[in-house]
Amino acid sequence: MSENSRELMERAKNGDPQAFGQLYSEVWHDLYRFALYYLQNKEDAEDAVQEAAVEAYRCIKSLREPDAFRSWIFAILTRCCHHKIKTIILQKHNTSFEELEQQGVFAEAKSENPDDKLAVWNALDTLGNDERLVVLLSVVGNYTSPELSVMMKKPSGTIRSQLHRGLAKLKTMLSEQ
Amino acid sequence: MLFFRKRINDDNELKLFAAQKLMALDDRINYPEKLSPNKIAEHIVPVKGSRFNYQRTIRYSAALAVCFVFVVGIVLSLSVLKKADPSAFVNSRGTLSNNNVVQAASTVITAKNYNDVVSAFETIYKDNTAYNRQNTDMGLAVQNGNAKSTLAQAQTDTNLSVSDTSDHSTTNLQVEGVDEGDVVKNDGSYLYTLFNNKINITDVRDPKNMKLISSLNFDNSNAVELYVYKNKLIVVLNCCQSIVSSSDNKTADNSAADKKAVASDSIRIAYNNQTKVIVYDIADRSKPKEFRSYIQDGNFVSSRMIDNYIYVASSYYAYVKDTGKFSAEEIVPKAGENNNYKMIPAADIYIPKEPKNASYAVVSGINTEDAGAAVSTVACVGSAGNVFASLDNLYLTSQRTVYSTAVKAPDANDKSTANSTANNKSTTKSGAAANGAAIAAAAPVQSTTDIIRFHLKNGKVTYTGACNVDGDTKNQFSMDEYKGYFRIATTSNSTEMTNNLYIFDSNMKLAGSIAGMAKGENIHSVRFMENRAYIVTFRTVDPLFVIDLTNPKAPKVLGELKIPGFSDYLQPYSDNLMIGFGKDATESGNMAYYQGLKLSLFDVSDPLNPKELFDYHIGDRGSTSAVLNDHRALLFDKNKNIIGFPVTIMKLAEGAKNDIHAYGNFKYDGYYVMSVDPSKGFTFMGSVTHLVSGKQNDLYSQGLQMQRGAYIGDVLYTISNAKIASSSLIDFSKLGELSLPYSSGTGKYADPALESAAGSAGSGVTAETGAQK
Repeated sequence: MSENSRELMERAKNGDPQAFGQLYSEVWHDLYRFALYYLQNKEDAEDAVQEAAVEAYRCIKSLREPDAFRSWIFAILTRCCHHKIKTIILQKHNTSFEELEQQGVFAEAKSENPDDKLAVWNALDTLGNDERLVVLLSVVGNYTSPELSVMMKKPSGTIRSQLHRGLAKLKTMLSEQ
Repeated sequence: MLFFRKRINDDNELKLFAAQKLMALDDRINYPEKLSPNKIAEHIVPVKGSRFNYQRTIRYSAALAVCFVFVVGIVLSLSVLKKADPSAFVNSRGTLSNNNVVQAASTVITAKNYNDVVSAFETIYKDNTAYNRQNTDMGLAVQNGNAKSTLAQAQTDTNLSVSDTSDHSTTNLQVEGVDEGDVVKNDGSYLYTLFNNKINITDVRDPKNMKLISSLNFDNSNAVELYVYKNKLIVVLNCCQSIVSSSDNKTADNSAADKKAVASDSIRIAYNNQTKVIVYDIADRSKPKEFRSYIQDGNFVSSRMIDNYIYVASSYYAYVKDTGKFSAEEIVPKAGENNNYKMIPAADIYIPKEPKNASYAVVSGINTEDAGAAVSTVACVGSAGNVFASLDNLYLTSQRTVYSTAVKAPDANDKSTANSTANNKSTTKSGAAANGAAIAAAAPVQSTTDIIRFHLKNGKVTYTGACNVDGDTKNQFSMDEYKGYFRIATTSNSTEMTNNLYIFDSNMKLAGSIAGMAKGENIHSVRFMENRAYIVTFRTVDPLFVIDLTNPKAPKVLGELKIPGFSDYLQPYSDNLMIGFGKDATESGNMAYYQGLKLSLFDVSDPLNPKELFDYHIGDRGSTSAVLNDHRALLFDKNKNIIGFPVTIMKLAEGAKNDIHAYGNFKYDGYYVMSVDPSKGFTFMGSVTHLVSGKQNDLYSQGLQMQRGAYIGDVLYTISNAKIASSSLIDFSKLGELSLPYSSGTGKYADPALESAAGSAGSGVTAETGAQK
């Protein structure tokens, strides 16, 4: 499979939009999940992913390591999300879960465990921005903590403790259910 | 230090815990259409129709590939030289040769026991030390991608029992008698629709009063496609997603010094899918009853149905430790009924002599009429890309890239893992160094496709051979079988893009080939019709090649036609007429800019001199139709003389009319029906839209984008995620409308078995991998 990706990468780097599209199609669900959980509202999440995709295509030639498309585009997306939080809206304006359901972001609650996802959503909301970021990059983005420390230019100790704190908080909040 | 270690283990557990919790959200996300690869393509691609400048591209990629070789150097050279068949490179340069294809029937063997499988994986691992990282990062994602790009299925039903109306549409199939799954099925009385993991069965016998009869929900899975065969409804799902963690101590982009130290806290969260087939008894359409179900490991790739047997292919990647030592439990895919889900027996696992991919193609044949009939499942080490099935055989492609290098191969890679049936220990491959020289002189990057053939007989799947060709296949239409010969068209992308056609006899031995067609262009569509092949390639104009295959040993290009634009799908109309479905394009220098949709009627009665008789243009740049990527979205009936398809139409603003780069603004989304006449060409008959407001946003948010059309008698049914509308096929007046439950579920027939299966299978895998940590 990785052979496939490498071949695609070569083509994408040469500007082949179809190859890029295929690479993108392999990660877009994860990109959107990540942006949605991080920004917690539909428009910003969609914008961020779209911006990240456009930006990724624009500068794909700068991607040196052919195997790293996934983590590379996640890094771009992270920047786009940051941009949303820091400059455009100044603060995260998250939407309530019910609202999002009405907007069709999520399919409606199942009868079996309607509270479950609400709890997860609210737990994510409770985390600080930085904690939420490292938790999501680690869990959704498949980053390991050494990779996170490279990407976020922070000492690995800092990342590890942020990650641990975030994960531990989630566990505490969600175990009470 | 002890504390530290404990903390790491805690974190890994916490990570798994968080991932599991998040799945409650993941499962419910409606992924926005505007971010789908197709929509994004409209933002990122200023000049899609144009093939970029090849001269530059080629030099660039050559240089790049060389750099790449040095950077990743040793890692690749190990695996590369091994797979590089020198003769394949001869062919890549356009030479016609009968010896250039790996005669692979003898290169794949059956595993005698699990040790064979384990040693194959250990070799793959050794061959490529970057393996763990690539695959944990990309492996699964690629499999998902494949699953999407190859879902070339449809909505048909050849043998109906419910219906007394035989005059109804069926799915647009590649091979008559080989049904393809789709999101809409029509049996002449009921429409079966699958959107958002929900199947709705609608009684449409009275078009003015359509009734939703029953629904099935698949909340914890991703329902991909469905079939209806007599009184059975079959759904294929990607499901039972389980979280697996895999350790990883290689981060490619970082200096390695402190990495070892912190390596132990680096687990990745990855997801493994299973493919599930559920057969429902729908003798009572209002009460579907689960009849049987089957699970196999791996992401769904494609399926077919022949009579009452469904054949399902999935692609399975085994997440493994990075120690290079594996146990059979870790790497052998599982399959079975709910209560009998277990490792596929070694005797049913096939291993190439030189295994390359740390993944499997898994194929099962399931009897949908007899719940007790044994299911036949085989696995082949390799990956699964495009699937073609005739009535007798299923062909599975596995594309990979061969890297050449100037670095001579060390002897280390001379080891062949998989043991041939004759001798049990590794055989030495001689001449690797000599090959190296040949390779060094050849193209630096070369894509190649392995094809595995399985014989299909009453649900029994048997491996019967393999072969290898240069280049990539575009989709299922790139392949065909006729009178025992297998034909395949590919695009090679090495020093220069070229196109090839290969013909194999029934022993999977190369009979004949044409290499080096249409230099600098790539294949947009292929259609095989008995003794002819039609191939559309594109760079700035659309050459339609007509190739004579009457003598399989000597295929011959008869004629070619160059017209503006390109066809992404070719629909045979009669022996000598063909409908092309694609886009118009305007040349500009050595580029071409694609414009609106274009239908062409080609006359190939004089194969030396093919002609475009008529064309029909729809919309401006940016207009699109699902048919461009999915033949199942097309409705074609020659007797009724109709061709129907969903379209999204964009129109240019007045001022931009002459700007070939400009994109149009949204104008319309709906279903178009045209008639085709060999003497008059295309005539617009009518159209139906579900988008009452005319606002593009509502298309996606309210699920009103047109998906499929179907007819029964003189009634046209148009189907979007949220609606079924019926119209007269004579004057297109509206007859009735039914809203389908779009995002809300009644959950009435939610499938409890599915969830319990997800629970048990999922936790099993998690626990297993978790225990390694």
